Amino acid sequence: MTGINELKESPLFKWTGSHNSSSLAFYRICFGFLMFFSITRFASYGWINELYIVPEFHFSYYGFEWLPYPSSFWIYTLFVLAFIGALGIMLGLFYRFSAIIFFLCFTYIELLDKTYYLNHYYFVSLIALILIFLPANSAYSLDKRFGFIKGSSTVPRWTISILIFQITVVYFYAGLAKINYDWVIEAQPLRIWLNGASDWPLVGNLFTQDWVAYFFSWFGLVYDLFIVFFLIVSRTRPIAFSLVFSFHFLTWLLFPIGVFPWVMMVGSLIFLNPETHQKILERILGRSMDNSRQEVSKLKNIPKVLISIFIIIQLTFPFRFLLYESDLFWKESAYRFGWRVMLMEKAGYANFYIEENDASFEIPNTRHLTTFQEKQMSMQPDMILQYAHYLGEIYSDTTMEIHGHKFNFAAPEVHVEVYVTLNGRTSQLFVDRSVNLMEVPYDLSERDWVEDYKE
Amino acid sequence: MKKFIIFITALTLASCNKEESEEFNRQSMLTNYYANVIAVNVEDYESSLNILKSSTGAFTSSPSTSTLATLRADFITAYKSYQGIKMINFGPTADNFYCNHANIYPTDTSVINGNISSGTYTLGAASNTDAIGFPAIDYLIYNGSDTEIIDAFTSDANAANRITYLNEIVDKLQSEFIPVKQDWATYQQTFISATGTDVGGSTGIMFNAYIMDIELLKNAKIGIPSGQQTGGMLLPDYVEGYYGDLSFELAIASVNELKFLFNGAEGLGLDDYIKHVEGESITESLADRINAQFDLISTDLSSYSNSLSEAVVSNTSDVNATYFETKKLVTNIKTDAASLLGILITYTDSDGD
Repeated sequence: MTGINELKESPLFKWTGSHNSSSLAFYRICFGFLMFFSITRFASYGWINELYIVPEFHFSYYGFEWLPYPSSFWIYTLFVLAFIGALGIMLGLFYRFSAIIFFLCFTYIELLDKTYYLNHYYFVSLIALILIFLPANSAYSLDKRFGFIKGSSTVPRWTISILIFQITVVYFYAGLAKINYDWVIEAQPLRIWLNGASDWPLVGNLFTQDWVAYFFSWFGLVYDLFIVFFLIVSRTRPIAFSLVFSFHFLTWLLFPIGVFPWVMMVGSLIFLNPETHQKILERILGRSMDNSRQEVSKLKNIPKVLISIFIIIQLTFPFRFLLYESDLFWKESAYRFGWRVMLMEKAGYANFYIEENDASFEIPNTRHLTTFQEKQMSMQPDMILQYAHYLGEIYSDTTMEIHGHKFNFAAPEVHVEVYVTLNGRTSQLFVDRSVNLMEVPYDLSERDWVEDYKE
Repeated sequence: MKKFIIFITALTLASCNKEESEEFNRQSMLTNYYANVIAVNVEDYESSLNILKSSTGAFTSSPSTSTLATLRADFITAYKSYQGIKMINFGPTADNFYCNHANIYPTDTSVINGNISSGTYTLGAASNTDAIGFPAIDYLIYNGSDTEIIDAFTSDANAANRITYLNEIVDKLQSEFIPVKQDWATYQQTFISATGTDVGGSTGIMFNAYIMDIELLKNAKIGIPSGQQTGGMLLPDYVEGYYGDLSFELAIASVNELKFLFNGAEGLGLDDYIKHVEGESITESLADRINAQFDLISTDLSSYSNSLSEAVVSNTSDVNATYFETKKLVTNIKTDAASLLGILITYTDSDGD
């Protein structure tokens, strides 16, 4: 079969028919294990307390401000539930319930503070959402062993297709996002970041050389755009897999990106042959786990409408930025949820002032924010605005006693002066102090209150 | 797989090709930082404290205008030298909490006087953090005319207690620095070998402490007294070195120390690191702009003919202009330099957005 035909016939393009249920089971076990590991890692670093309990203020997501912020007890409970959900997914025990619990708890946690937004967390939420609807416990699961379900040796093909589709979206859109001036022509921000590895033995000084930065940038771009297709076609699959592993392993060594490379490496395992999935599972778990019957999942007839809506949203959502005239990297309107990974080295310095009746107080950011929050806020317009509104709120109708002197604030104006640097360029004015942010609505409109980027 | 092996081989071969070898690397930079900035500052400060201790002893055993003058000169030297310690408030300096109580100003004179008259106090107590350290010494040796001060240490009813108090707070500064110095000697190897840019990397740890100190220059030294953070309300008695009118002198010393660190003394420093990352294509290096900004602030601070506590009242707009220049410096360091050097201000996962 030629590559093109194989592509056409692959689950990515052909969603009808059936597929070996081992593939789904394999993916379920890997994903469950990775999440189990990921949550354990997160907790062991003390991040639950540091990121979700210590901060006084939380940067909510637009549209999710209504989500109640849990007390520390409930924060820990959410993590414990997500942890149990991940275990349940891995073991295939009370699978659907576990998947729902995991999805809800994990997503709830992510929605609490956008300071910690990461594309791979978004990816995890999406995969968890998808898994709820898939019969991933139909083989190699405790549900089946305990007889809670009947199990099946095949699953509808679309259950594999939709996972492959989701992974394709991540890679392909990440590749598209790399087609920009800084990435292609300036090899930025990699040129800056690769310097961090200049102390590596043997290859260290390579990372300081221009051609290496260009090589990584261009290779990364081509890789992201096309890797999925090479993973699908059987002839190129071995080389594609070796690329996936070496590429992500290298990024894991080079950049502080946590479990992301592992999420992608494990994610790509769905592209292995179904027979390979089955062989691996048989070797590890034994054939006894899978005394399959030809039983077709009840979810075979999931409404095509639902799937279509999901697909359309996934394909169009990253393009929201086209609705804005402003520079995507500068004002970041519609920047998140677009698979824009590692595209910017951006940093800002923001000085906030509350002003009323000629009185002007500078409020040090560290008074209300953690270092992490301050760093993220100082360069992202929506977060600057949210924080400004928070300041306006907490300092209204208050008396501030500073150095023994009392000041009354009824409804103070909030101003900020921000300078931002992007991809190694000299910092420039981002928000001018003349703007009263209390008069700027927090919505999805153009961010005209942010200075335009000047070349 | 074959191609991958070729790729790795190519990388390895290319790395052995030293044609384009650069003189800059973080290991050499950190080695230089330890030897020529940290060790030098620690050494200088320690000896300035020893001298301060002996001139305090000389003054308190025979108070006179001449012993007072010597004490003041040695105090200024030590106080200036301290500016070079608080900017390296990481590693052993931070672990020993040395800077947490060495320079809290304004000092609480009523607590100091209360301690002196009662004669019973625990200097290490939380209630005494603003009754010890440099600001307390500043108060004891500068508040009043020379005669008044000498009287306070001779004929005053509390003279004996005051002598004890002054000796004890100087002794505290000096003795508590001994473990800091010792720890730095053992920390040297850790410091030099942590060449990465990851969580425990020395460049990042040092740089983050450095940013804190530059922000202190902007906020504590100039911002607060000039009312920048207090609704324009001037706080002339909130300056550093208030009683001896030493604010500008200390601020200039601080700027000099910050510049000294930035340039890694004469050796490989953050300036070289920046130029190294920028490459040769750059027309105006950020390092040069930062150095120019240091000089500008230094000149600016030297241009005042009065003290800072007077200047915030009489030359308010000049001080505001100086404050503005320090803010530019913070922006340069905290955004441009941090960004270019890939310094992690925080250490949790990121994907660069």
